[in-house]
Amino acid sequence: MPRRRIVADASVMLPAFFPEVLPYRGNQFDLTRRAKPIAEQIRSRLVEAFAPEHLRHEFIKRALGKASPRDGAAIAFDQAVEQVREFLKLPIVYVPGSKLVEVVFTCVEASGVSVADGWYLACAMETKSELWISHEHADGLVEAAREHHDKVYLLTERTFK
Amino acid sequence: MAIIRTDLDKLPDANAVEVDSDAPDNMQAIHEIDDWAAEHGFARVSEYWLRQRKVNGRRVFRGICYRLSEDEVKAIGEESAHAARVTDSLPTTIHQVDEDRK
Repeated sequence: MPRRRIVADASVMLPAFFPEVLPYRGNQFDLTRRAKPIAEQIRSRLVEAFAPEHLRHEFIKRALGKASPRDGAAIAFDQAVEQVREFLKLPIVYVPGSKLVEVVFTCVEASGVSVADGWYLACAMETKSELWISHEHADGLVEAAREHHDKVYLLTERTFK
Repeated sequence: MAIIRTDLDKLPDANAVEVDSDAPDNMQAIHEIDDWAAEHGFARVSEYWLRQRKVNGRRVFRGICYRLSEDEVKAIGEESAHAARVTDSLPTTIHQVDEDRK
C-alpha cells in the first residue's frame, strides 16, 4: 500500500512547535492542537514528508521573530533556537528549487498564487503529496491552489489523522 | 517499474539495506523505495537525489533504508515527549502570516 505523502507549509509547521492561535470566525482557533499530530507523524515516519527549501528559511525567520524585541519578544531567544533545532531534526525530504521553479512560475502566472506559496504548491504537485495549510488566506490562496492540485487541506477545516 | 534488488535477503537482521528501483525517474524511485521501506519495517534516509548505478545494463536508483528497530522507535518516542513538553511550556502567540505570503 502506498505511503501517505504530505507537504506542510510554514503556517502548519510553526504552530507545531510554538503554541499559536488564529483569530477565526470570532474565536481563537487553536492551530497548535491541529498541527502537532502532523509533526508527530513525520517524526515517527508514519508519513513521508516533502518540502521546498523555502520552508527552512520561512520557519527560522518566523521562529526567531517570536524572540525579536521588535515583535514583542514573546519567547526567549534560546527557546526559539531550541525549537528551530527540533524542527530541523524532522525527517523531511527537501526538494531542490531547480526541480520546482517551472511549476512555481506556472502557478504564479496562471492563478496569481504568491511566489512564496507557489513553492509549497509546486512541491506538493511534484511529489504527488497532500498540501496542508493553516487556513484560507486573504488573497484566496487555497481556491487558487485547488485549481492546480486536488489535495489541498486546511487545519481550520479538518483534523490530520 | 519496481524494486529490483535489496540486501535484505542476504542479511535478514541488517539494520541498514540498499534498495534498487528501476523507476524511470528519481521521484518515482523515491516513492517506490519509501513504500518498500514502510512495508518491511524500515525507513528511507531523507535524501532527495538517489544514487544511480548500472545493473545488468539497466539504470537503477539506489536508496538507503534503516530498520525502525526497538531503539530507533524508543528514541523517536523520547524525542516526541520532549518536543511536546517544550512546546507546551511556551507562551501562546497569535498566528502571523508572513509579509510575502499575503
